[in-house]
Amino acid sequence: MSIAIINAGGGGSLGLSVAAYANTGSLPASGVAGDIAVITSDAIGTAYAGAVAPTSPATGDLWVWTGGAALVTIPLTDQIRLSPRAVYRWSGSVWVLLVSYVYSGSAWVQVSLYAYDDGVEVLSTFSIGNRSRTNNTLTKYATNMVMFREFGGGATSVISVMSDVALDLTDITTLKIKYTRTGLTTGTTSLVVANSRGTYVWVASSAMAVATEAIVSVNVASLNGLYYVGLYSDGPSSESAPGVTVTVKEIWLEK
Amino acid sequence: MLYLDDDYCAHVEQDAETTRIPWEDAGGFFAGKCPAFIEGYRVVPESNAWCREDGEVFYGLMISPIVNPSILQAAQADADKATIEELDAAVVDLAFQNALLEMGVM
Repeated sequence: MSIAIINAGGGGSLGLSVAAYANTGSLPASGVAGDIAVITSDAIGTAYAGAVAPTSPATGDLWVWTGGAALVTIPLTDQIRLSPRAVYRWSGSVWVLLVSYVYSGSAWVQVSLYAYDDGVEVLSTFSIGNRSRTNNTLTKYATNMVMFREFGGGATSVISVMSDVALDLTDITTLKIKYTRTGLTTGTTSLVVANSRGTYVWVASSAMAVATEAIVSVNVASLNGLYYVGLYSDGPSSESAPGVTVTVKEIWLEK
Repeated sequence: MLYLDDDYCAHVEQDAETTRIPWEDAGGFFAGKCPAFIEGYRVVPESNAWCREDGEVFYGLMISPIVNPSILQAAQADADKATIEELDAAVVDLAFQNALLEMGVM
């Protein structure tokens, strides 16, 4: 697949407008539709857009990874629009994912592979997919969300918390979650991928053990198209109090 | 019981050299699934780790498809259809036998 090489602020009829800001609070109040803002204190170079990374980047060069479903599009012309999924900066040795935004409508919209980021529901909101009892809950806070599964108490206890929209896993290799789990060690608690959000049928899963600020990954390299992502917990009827508490900090995709 | 090869790919049978690791599907992920479905999956058991060719490491218990899940689901749908046809034929046989019994022929 060819790469569109478009210099930042470049000439001609097509161009990407890219600017770097030290932090999100420094973003200007408004912009032009399609403006790209990257959050970095490092110098940025030429910006490239395409489905494949530039083969010989210079330190500071940016790669706007395009293709698949994106939260926002960049209008190059009336007929040509890019779908940015992530922006990377070449460090000199590796591509580093940057926090980035595109100005669209009247707001800066985050370009992100984060489904959930420290209290912010980015690619999707999350809610309970299914549960066996109302004491199994999801509570959202300013910087995290907490899934609680009550102990078995004589009957199997189950809950799933899933993305409300299916995410495009095309060209995504890994799904990750950063979490803290406390309480019982019994039963199963997992990061899951599914075709539907209301059943307990998984396409892929990865166990989430009791841990503090741990990261769990599941390989999704063979998945193309739209899938729901989330977490799940169940426990046997023989469990006793207290239950399982999972505090979710981040859920994100990696190319 | 499933069997995992040295790349943690799942198999429904042990190989001739008995090199595959037996793994019990205690959680029932593969319950009712046909061999074609099962053998499209990788299972990294608890306390094990698998390194993908790009260097990313995954820890067990991880269960993830090796091929596009839509292919596996199609294989499972074919297997389910064959099972239903077998069951339908068995129901017809039983109904026929019951009829013969009622007639006193059997």
